[in-house]
Amino acid sequence: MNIAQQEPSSIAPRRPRLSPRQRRRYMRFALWAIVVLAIVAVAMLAPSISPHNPDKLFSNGLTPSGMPLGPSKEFPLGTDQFGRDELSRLLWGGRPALLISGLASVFSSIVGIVLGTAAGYFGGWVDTVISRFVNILMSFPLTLFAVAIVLIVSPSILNLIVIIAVIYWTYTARLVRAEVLTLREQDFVAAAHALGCSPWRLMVKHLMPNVFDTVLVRAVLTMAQVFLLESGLSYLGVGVQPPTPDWGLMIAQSQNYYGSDPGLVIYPGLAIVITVIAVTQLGESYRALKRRT
Amino acid sequence: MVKRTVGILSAISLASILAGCGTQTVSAAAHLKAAATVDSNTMVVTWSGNPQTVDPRKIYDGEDWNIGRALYVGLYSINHKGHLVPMIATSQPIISDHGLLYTIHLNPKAKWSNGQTVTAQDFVYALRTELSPKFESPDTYLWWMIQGASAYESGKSTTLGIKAIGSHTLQYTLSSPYSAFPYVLGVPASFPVNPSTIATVATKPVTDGPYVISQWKVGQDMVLSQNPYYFRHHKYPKHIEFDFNVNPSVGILRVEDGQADLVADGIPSANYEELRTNPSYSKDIVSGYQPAVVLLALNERVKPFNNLLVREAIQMAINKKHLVQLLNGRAQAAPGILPPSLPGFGANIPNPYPYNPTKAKKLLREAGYPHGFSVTLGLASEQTGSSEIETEVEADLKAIGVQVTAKPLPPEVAAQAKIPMMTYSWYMDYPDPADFVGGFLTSPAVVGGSNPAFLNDPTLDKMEDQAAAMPLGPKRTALYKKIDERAMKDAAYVPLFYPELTYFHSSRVHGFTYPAVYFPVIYSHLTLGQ
Amino acid sequence: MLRHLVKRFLWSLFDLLIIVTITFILTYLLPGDPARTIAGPHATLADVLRIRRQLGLDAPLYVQYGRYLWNLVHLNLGTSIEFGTPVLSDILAKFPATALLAATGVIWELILGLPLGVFSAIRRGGVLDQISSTLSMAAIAMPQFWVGIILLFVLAFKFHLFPLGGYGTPVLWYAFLPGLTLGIGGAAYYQQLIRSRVLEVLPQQYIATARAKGLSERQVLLRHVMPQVLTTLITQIGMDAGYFMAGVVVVETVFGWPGIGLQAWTAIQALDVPLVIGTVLFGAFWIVLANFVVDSIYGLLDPRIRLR
Repeated sequence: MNIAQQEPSSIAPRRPRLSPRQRRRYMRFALWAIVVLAIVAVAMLAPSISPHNPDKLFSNGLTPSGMPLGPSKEFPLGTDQFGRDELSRLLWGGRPALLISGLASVFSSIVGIVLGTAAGYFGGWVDTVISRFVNILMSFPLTLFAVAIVLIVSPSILNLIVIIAVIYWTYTARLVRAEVLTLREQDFVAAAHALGCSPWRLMVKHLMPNVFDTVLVRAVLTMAQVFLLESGLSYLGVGVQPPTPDWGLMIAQSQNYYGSDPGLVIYPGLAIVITVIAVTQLGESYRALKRRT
Repeated sequence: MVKRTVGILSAISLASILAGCGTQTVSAAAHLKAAATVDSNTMVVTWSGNPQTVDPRKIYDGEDWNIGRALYVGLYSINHKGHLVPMIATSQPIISDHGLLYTIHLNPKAKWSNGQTVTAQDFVYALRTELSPKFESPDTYLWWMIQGASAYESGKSTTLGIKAIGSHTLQYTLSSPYSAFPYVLGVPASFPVNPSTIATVATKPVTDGPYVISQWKVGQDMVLSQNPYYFRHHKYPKHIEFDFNVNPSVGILRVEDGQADLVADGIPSANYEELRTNPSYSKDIVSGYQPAVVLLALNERVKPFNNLLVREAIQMAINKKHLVQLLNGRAQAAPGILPPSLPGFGANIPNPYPYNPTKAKKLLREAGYPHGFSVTLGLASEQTGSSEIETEVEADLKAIGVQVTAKPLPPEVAAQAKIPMMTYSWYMDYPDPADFVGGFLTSPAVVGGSNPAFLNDPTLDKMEDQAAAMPLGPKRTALYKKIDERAMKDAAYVPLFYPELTYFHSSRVHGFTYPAVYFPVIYSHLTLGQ
Repeated sequence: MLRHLVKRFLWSLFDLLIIVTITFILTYLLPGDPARTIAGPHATLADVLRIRRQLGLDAPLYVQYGRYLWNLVHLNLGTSIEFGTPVLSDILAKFPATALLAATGVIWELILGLPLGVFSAIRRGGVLDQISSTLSMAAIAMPQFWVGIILLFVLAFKFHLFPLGGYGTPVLWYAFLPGLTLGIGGAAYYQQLIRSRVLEVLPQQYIATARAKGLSERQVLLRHVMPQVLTTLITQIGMDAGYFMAGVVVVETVFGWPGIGLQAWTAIQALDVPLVIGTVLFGAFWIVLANFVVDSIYGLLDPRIRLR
């Protein structure tokens, strides 16, 4: 994980020793980093650690009258209403959402940092155009907007990533712009400018590294939000398509079984909650770490 | 001819609509509390869908059909046993001119809800507008046998084989003999409309049936109230309230809770087991088979399904027994296309393609696909048991090396878009094999019906024309069985199952007997007790 | 001040124009046949051809765009495929229910979020702070549909406290659970927002001065801290109201609440693009309006913005 090795912002002198408060912050960050890594590891290793093929319909996976089975040795968390192993589906079920939220957050951050820096640095009409566009994109009702686009271009993982990135870069851009506006007034920028540094070089070499922390935190929080959005889209039937195991989709497909087999709804829901908490806290604890008091 | 996909049981656990829950025996206290809130004159029906239309000339499927029959009455009705019962007609049609001319006398007592008398002209007006090119009714296929229908529909001519003689006699002229024609006069698309109030036909129609619409909030609910001018008995509930967009599982909970009387979608898979095993509900569950089949259509015009071996491989790859289990056993695995519940059928034919994935793989290898292939599956979104079918087909075909990507698609689009494989279901319009096989086993060129597999067999078409004209009876039935066998040999349609429909109603609803045929909920046959 | 308002208003109009342009691009320019998209899945080939003629898809692009704008100016958002009725009248018919639900949601956010936020800031690090911070951490992470399903099952079915979804009288009884589901996530956000805002205000010099003057803690809170918090709150409530009005698809779907969100969901199932796009436009309109209102109120409250 290279977040931990990242140099603190170049303006601050490095502290030789950690205060107890700072140490607590490191601990907290490390803890959430481990949780997130564990979740990602489970998702990546799902093919080798899950007891069954998640798509396999077991002929012995249903009661004679066609209802899901409870936990047993063969199916540790029981089966779903199609006679598939619930545990295997849970282990696999984070993959699409993690992939989509991860990549969407990377793409939206890249677009956000470039446009945000440009807006903040150049000001004038560049800023007006970019800020206006950010404002406008933010005026769309998020879920519905995503649904409408998916309806027109048809749902696939790639489409979902692109659509979500197109919506979410605005948040990053807005933050970056604000930060660059303050940075621009600082001495080192003026110095670089005086030394004849080209605007492009200045942005890439001096401004972007300084907003890196902000963007990183934002990217992690975006990932958590996209994770929730993705589960919502899948729930509405316009996200990941069956039979791909996906937590949001699993809840949607099994919700009518809540009375007889609550686990089919509870487990994937908890998985979503835990993942989103862990990712959010990873971002928050990193932000706390960078706070200099 | 014919085609009918029906949303009526979309409930069998489609990726569902609202929140769902399971079932739980409701405490006595809850029953008491609920009993106080339900009006003893109003029957409450929940439905996951919304009516597409209440204009009988456009009524096409699902609960629309049942609501249409609560609002309107036509010349005939088809009873529980599949027999034609005169309603506005005074007797069975008088057939003359070698089976081409049908003469029907109307009961002069029949009235519209504004007090006007129902006349033969109202029927003529309804059919002429229904088939007019501008009206774009989805039901025109039902009338293919009427003289001049196709020229009239395309706007090339204004003559149509329907005529009023005085106000109470109707004459239909056919272009070729069609012995199942009287049944057509029992479906909603044959019902009359009131020409003088036609402006409100889609919103607040003047009707001639048991009920009128007293309130309709689109997308929310609809209340039907008794039509004071209806010329028949009045024992059925004073009011029926339909609550739309209600998830079937939630609907079941409402019925258990005493907040509703019937779930129009039927019982979802999630709730079936607990309702069935609860002894206090034994009288409140009604179930039965109606002539319907759910199939998989393999498009013969598209690679690789233009190869018979591949089609046969698919036939053998599907584990229908497991699919039936997924549907809680509420279905019969289908060995052929025509369901045993059709009058005169009953005995099952042997399955020409028993489940055998090993043989299926071998067939694929012989066909030149040793490593299988990838294919798109069009899913009719209103398909009975659609998520179960999708899951089963994807898993079964994967086992023989065929990768399936499902895509929700209505059948009309799929038929045009050359989707290689799609789910398809057929619910009869009327209990006759002619309606049943006509549309999708007939070559696309012949009639405007849908044939998503693009089955093209002139011999089969000839057999069908011959059967359609034959008088009803065992000889005709035998010919239809031969048609079924021949179609199965072509292997373009994989019959999956014959669905069983199950309904759950509150204990105060009486008279809900499962009909052998036809759409099950006939509101004017129900009564509300305590 | 007036100049500021007029300028803001003109910008809002401009935003709307671009929003409309984006939806135009979505419907007309994305790969695929717009006539097919608009005609809907049940249309026959003849329908598609007829709609293609009607839309004038053979006309140059700027003509199509002009027509699109012209229709919108005349409040014509097209015709729904599912219901065959004008999209705008469909939306307006369902809007009151959505507005009511949105209001209930905002009230829930305030009831839960405001007191918890203030008290957890005052007793920073205390038991209440820790509990409410943990709860809000979890609440933000819960998918709304999941919360809705669980509330519906436990409170409505198991304990018979509320109706099993739907809409009826007394309407607040029906709105209780969907409103709560809608408000929980927002309440958690409010708790965090208000907590940090109060924590920012508390160490300020004038608070110490107020205390030194002998004001009780309660008075300090009411007179000096709360006004600061309120400006933050107004912005947030304005934004939330805008977003909630835009149709809360998931919550309305879970509870069968007959608002524009549920209608949009029905439209999604029927691949009814005009109705979905119409709802998106309607929602965007509300959000732009909410932005404008919030901004104007903010301008009234904070003279610095006026001067800029």
